[in-house]
Amino acid sequence: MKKGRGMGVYCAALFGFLYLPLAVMFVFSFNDARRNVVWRGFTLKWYSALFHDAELMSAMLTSLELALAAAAIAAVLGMLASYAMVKHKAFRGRGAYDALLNVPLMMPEVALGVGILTFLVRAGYELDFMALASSHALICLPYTVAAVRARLISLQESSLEDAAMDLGATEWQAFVKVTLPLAMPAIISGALLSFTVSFQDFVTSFFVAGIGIVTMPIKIYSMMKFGVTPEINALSVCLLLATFLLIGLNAAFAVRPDEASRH
Amino acid sequence: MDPPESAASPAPADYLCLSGVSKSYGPLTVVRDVSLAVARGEILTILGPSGCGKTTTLRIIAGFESPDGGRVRLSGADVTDTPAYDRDVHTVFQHYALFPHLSVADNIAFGMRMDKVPEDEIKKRVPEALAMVKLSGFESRRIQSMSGGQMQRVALARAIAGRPAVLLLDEPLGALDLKLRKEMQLELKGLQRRLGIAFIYVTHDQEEAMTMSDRIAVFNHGRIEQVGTPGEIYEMPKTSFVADFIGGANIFSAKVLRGEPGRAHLLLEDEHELNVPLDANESLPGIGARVKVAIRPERVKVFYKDELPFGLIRFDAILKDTVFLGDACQIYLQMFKKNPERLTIAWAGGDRYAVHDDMDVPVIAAVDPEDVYILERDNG
Repeated sequence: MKKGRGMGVYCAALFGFLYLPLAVMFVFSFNDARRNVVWRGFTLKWYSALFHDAELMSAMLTSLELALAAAAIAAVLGMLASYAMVKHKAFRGRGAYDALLNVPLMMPEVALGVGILTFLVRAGYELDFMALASSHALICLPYTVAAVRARLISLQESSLEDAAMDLGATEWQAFVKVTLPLAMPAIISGALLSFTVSFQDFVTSFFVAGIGIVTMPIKIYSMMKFGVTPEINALSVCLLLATFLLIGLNAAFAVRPDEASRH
Repeated sequence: MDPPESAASPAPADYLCLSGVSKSYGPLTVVRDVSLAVARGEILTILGPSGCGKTTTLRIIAGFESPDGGRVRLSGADVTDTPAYDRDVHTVFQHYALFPHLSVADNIAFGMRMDKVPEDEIKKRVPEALAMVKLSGFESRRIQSMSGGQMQRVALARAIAGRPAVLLLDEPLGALDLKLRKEMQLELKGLQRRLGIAFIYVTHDQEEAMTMSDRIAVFNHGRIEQVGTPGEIYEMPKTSFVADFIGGANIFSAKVLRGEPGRAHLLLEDEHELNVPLDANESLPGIGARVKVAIRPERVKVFYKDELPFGLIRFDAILKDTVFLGDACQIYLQMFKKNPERLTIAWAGGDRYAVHDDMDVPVIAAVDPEDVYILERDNG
């Protein structure tokens, strides 16, 4: 009994530490006061202000478009990259190939941002929307590869492509009719993850975004220069809810281990 | 009853023919110079321990691997360079490899759709294939909701629905439990007889091979050790590997003392003289040569009284141990004074009361000279 209670206290403390700040933010987004510290009564006006702020809405739209583009690019590249990994077990530089695909995950984003910026400027490429979307796709790629590769390995082990080809499908038909539909949940899950990574990315955007491209995190950063307003709280709550929604979707698409290769 | 030497030469009746097929992965040679011919309507089993090259051979026939050397011919045409999807060969995979995103009917129709069979023809053939494997009415079931035995049947229906010339089966019953496996063995055999197509069946289970096959090809280290009917393989093993792998055998070393037409005088384990008859096509391995001989455990008879068995070779032996196995008793005998560690195994019937379980008592072991097989020369 005692042990159980100790565990309960520990858990409460842990989750309090994790989620209390979010709860405070949530509550104060409804606070009817300009300052963030004293409770003055309930209001929805910050939310209303949020949706009437044209600049903010445009930043929101930019971020959504950016995340969609980055997720799409990362999903396609991730699928192809992991297909190559799984299909060709041994090729020259296999180890380097695997490692280099994961590097963006570990690399300091500042270094990555500076690197991409230097490269694009040197190459004389305009810092437009596609430049930013490609940079985001780069940081998202390890996530889609991780999600898709696990799925492809289990498909490979159950010799489904062999079976399709045995029954008369060409390599392309086997890919389109068997591998792709079965890998789709993993691809979508990787794309959703990429979407969140891109949507909340600040550092890379900060370096690579050209003039006139303002993403949501950059907008929040510039708003913060004038202090933490309830409007920012309200905005953060919206972002938080959107993220939870994506996590839920991701869980729904997550591959159950028994589904791919039931023997 | 083809002698194995001629089994590789293509005859008009041969549906599938491998000649001199080899395959290596880097320094590792997994298939060495394999020649094999399979007739229309025959079940040929490729039998061997794991890693003997049997699955690779099957994958070469299916077209998933291309051989480094040798040719594969199917119905008279050279298909060595034909990709898997253009070969008239279908495979039942070890773990079924059913498409989990498709229904049972769509799984079965998959191959026919790839071959552009008209949809109304497919509508007729899917229930036919399901009826063949006794799964009528399962068309719209999902793969995940089926048992192992049912999935096995769907895999079979999918492979035969396209009416291939040859069906390859890679340990198809390996994942089923013993009782179901026994049932499926007989069912598969019946199905093959009805379809009249060639089955090439891969297994490591010698009992399954004996049950299923018209002929067995015993593989070891990527090579064919012997090809023959189950009877030939069992009664006339050519190598000690075959003798030991099929049914188990006592393998002794012997020296050829002298020969006469149709007979050989051997000195068994440097102790006992035997006069062994030779098969018609068997030549005497030169005088003084060392050979290996095999005696099946069930052909070693044990007498507990001092009887003189007529026409049998008599050994004075010591009973070392008895193991009761339910349907049989295994008796361990010491037959050689010079090499007491070398125990001989004898099988007796399942009547445990007929078998003495005293240890270290003198008994008489007896063998019919007809039951002693001369195997390959002993180089070891």
